[in-house]
Amino acid sequence: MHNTVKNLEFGNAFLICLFWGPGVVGGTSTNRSMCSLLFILKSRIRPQYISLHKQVWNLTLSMLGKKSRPFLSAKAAETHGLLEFVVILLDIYMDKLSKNPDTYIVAQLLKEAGLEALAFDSVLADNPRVMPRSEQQNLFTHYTRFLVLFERAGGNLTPKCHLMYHLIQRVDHSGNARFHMTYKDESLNGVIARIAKSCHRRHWEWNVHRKYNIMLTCGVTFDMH
Amino acid sequence: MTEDFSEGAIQLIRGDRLEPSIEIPDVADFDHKDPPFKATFWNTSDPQSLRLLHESPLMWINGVTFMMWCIDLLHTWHLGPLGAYIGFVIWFILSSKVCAGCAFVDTEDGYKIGMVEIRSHLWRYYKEKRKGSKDFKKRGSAVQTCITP
Repeated sequence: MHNTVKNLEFGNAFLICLFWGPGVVGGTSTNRSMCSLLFILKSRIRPQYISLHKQVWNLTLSMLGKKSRPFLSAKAAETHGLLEFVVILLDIYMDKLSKNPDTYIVAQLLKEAGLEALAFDSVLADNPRVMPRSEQQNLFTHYTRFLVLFERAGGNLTPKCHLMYHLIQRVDHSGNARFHMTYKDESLNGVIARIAKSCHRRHWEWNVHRKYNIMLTCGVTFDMH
Repeated sequence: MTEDFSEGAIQLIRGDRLEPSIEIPDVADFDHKDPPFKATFWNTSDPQSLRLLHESPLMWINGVTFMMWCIDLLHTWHLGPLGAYIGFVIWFILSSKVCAGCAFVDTEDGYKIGMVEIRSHLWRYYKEKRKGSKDFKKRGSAVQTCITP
């Protein structure tokens, strides 16, 4: 998400503005929420804040779900970014995994499945809105191969796996799936979620609206992708 | 169903669930309703491993069909099979005990040690990505933790 703020100066002028006056909210919680909001705004405006923010990465066991039903809990873009990484990761450990015939077969199946998923993504990325039939067929082939290999490796299939076939099917009349059907303001959910985390439960709804209105009043605009 | 039930053509097994229908909108009315009436039960082929889903009442509305379902790439692909695949691969590597030092500790500690090693690979991968692409940071493709001041 790319944000811009026009003619806005941060610092004391912002801190003493009407929204943050002592009559509105008092006590230390004000300072906390003020800092929190400032951080949100700064991270939207200054590139160095964004890069700092992104350098505090984490990947923990709790993000991987249960061992019996693994599922990565991350944002969609983060999950997408990790696809290439896990294929490289399988390559890194392939020598060690190949010592045991069982793990070697599973690792090979998973690696091939990952390559098919990457090929699926590249078909979507390389094609324009109107996709030729041959490319639609490629989408179908790559996805089917991904699914079959993943299942043979022991992966769990979910109803969404079936739903993906309908998505591929609709490419014929709706166009490349990369261009449609994800809500234009989907990324706004993340902004509101971050605001919501900084609000106390006592006046939660009121504070979420208040802080969001402050962002709008300050002229923060969101370029939706 | 808490136990199997078999009578005539009706064959119900443990785990089947009575679903609300037009004749019985409230499933609690099942015990008091005068027969005969039609009841809808949902079941699954494997109650132990598969999750039993609910029927969507949206489909009962006239004119609402599956073609009105907005299937989007983000929720269906990235937050669906892709998330399951990545989670599965990392768990597979962790449980294979191929990470350094995992062979000599108990399972839980082995997972933690393995996770540290995988994380170090991830940081290295991101570092190389950032070197190769200046706008990698802007894409939000890196796993990140939201920090609050």
